[in-house]
Amino acid sequence: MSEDNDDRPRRGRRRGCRFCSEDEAVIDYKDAQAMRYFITDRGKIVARRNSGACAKHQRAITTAVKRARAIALLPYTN
Amino acid sequence: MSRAQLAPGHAREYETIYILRPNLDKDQANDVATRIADAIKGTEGMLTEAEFWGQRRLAYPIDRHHRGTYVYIKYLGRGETVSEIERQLRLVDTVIRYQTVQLAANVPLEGRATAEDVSIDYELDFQPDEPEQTYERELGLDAPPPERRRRDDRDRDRNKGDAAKSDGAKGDAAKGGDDAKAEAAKGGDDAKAEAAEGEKKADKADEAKADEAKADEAKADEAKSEKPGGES
Repeated sequence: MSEDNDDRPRRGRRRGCRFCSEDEAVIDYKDAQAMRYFITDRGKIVARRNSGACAKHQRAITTAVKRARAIALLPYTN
Repeated sequence: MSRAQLAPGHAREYETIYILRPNLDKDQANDVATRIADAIKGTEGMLTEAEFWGQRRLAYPIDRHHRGTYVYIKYLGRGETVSEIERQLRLVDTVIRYQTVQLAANVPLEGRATAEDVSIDYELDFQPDEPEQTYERELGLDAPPPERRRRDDRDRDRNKGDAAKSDGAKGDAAKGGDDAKAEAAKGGDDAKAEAAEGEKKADKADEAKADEAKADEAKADEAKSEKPGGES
């Protein structure tokens, strides 16, 4: 039985970090429109399991969001 | 980033974004720009890039302002440059927010664009005196409330429309009755004309009677057909 489970093809996305593999995917806190991608509609930072970023790039996202918030490009709360 | 000692002839690269009040004129904006230029020059820094982003909506109100004029500058310098620029930005009360980020450490100062080559272009879509957002406007107290169109409103309107349509249908029916009467009358006229052409008087009278009877029948029918309509 356990073998069956192992053979089952993985469903959903199990990709690597987008920011590691794609050159054009950059995290820039000045680009308010692109930064919207990293926050929920409540203004919270999107979790790693949802953003799909590796630890390194998730840290970059977090600092970028915080910088964008500080100069009112992104909201602290929504 | 790093707090390592700077090599001689090297500097760190910084970028600063500052937000000006939305309702200011060109002179006030230029005053801030010259203060920054002086600060960079006075501390042996080097302005390499300046961009005027223009008016933007703030993600949250700062000092009760809902819009702000963004200016972006990039420069080379040391810690003193940053602290002098930030001191100047604090002194000017047209600046409502600023933020400096270090981009790189140990950048050679040679072969970079000098401060003279770079100027902040305030001509670019500079729109002063934008009406300030007030609490009244924010709460919608200065304007009539927008017409609300909800689903039940739409449904009610649609029902009203149906009612109007059925009214129209009734009107048509009434009109139809009138028409029928008029036709009957015409028929009678025609019959008279035929009689004038030489037919027997008696025949004419009979025909006219028959026509009248028909017309009466039609009227009765109409009355019947109208009744159920009236009830609905």
